[in-house]
Amino acid sequence: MPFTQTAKKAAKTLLIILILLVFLFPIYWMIITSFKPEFEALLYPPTYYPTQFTLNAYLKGISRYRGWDSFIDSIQVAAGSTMLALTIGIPAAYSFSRYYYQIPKRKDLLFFILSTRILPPIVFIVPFFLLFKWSGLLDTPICLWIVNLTFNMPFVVWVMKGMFDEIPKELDQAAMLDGCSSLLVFRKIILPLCYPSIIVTALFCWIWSWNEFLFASLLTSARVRTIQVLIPSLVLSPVVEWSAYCAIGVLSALPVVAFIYLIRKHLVRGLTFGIVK
Amino acid sequence: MMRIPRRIYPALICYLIMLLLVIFPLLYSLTTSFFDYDLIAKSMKFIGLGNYITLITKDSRFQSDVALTVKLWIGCVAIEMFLGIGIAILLNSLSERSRGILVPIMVIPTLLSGIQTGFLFRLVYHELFGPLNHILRTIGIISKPILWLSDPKLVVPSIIFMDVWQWTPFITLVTLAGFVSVPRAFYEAAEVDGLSQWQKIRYVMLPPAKPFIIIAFLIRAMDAIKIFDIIYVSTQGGPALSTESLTYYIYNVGFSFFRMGYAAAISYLLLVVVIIGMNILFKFVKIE
Repeated sequence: MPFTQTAKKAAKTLLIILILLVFLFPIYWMIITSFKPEFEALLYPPTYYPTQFTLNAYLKGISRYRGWDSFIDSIQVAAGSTMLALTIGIPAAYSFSRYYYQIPKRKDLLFFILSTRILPPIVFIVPFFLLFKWSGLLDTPICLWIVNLTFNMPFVVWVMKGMFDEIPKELDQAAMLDGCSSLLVFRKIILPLCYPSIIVTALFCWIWSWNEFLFASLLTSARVRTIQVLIPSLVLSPVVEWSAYCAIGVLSALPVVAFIYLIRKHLVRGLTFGIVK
Repeated sequence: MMRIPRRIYPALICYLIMLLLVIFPLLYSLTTSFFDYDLIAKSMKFIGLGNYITLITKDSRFQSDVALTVKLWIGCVAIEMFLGIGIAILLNSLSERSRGILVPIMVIPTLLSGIQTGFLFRLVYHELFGPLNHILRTIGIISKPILWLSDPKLVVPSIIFMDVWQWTPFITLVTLAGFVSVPRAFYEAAEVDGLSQWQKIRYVMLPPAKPFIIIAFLIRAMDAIKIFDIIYVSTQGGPALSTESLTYYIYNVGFSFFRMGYAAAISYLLLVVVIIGMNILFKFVKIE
């Protein structure tokens, strides 16, 4: 009996190591390539560890290949999109949660807002392109803030409404009995209870806005070029400076990975409050 | 005229914005799809259902793209669900501490964008400089380099692998959230009742996790059909248009050929397919 137990454990450990290898290897590859000198990235047979560590690729990626500017552009777009979605979505979710019965045609409204995630973004692109061209907002971060609402806002409303629903209305009423206006109740009492959900929601809005490619590539080109738009333009160009491109790739992945790492404890809790409803 | 209480302003504002952002573009696209709108030549000719008729009857590129998109859609989602749940079961049997270390690491592929994933694998899959071929060659499995992204027989599996690599952790994460919600007492009761491992999985772990699994499935089903980024960076729809997904086709028609009317028509067909598909899925899932 003990033998089969150890055999089982060994098999499990092996399986886990295999899974980790598969999921981490490409990332590992990109990271080490970003530290390789130019010629080594294009070596056959490929090296699995840089023969000499150099930050050359990063310097090139940041300056010559516009890595830093794109990084800043991405931050602008992601931050703005997240702020906008939260600012509009959270109060809306609260409204839906607390004053459900006072909203005309409430069922349709809610369903409509939530179902927009089903729509393929490509369906919107021509009207948006023309609309922004006409209003002069093309090639600015503002147009991306607005179009990113199409997927960010429904998510915010969905999760936050679930979160607000979990908080008993009696709490609101008790506070209002003590003389709080509904606005104050919202700000000082309800919101602080929801920090995990807000953080997680904000995080996902950030990640999706950061990773968004289709709208960014079609609505911006010269003045604003997010890092997701930059990468294909480099990779598909005739220049094969892979170590520099990998450096940009690493840069583009850093904020997202960093945030998730910081938030990891809240992740499951913040999500499950809203998701299952 | 009904007096609207101030408190529901936020909800109405949200609704109004979504209306503008969604309904207006949809209507505009619909109208455009009835025209032959060439952005370059600045010509706009009303042709009614002409675009749709051409699409369904004469456009073989459209038909093969639909076939490809469906293949990718089913292949990716099925494999992701299967592997994702399997890995979640495996991880659930570990201690909470090990999980706390492994899960944040495993989740990284899901945090990347489609562009980054396509880029990663373009490097890894590379015939000459990529590690994959090199490892296979060194082990002795192959003698000639495999063209993962240019061999017509291998491209589709290669793309499926990329998407599975990126999204399986998502399924695992959500399923784990479901497993974790089961109180320890249930597991102990199962032990006392002498259930086998397999029975434990089927009767103790899976039922409470069902809503989570269903949500993860619906989300992936909605997203996988729009696959574009990964293909754009890795194969560019090649070789010879064999990996051009529907979204990619719309992208090409609208922004390489600038035939907006035709692009709008394809978008609408895609939209109809998605809505019908999702309705079927919803009904199927709610029945459970």
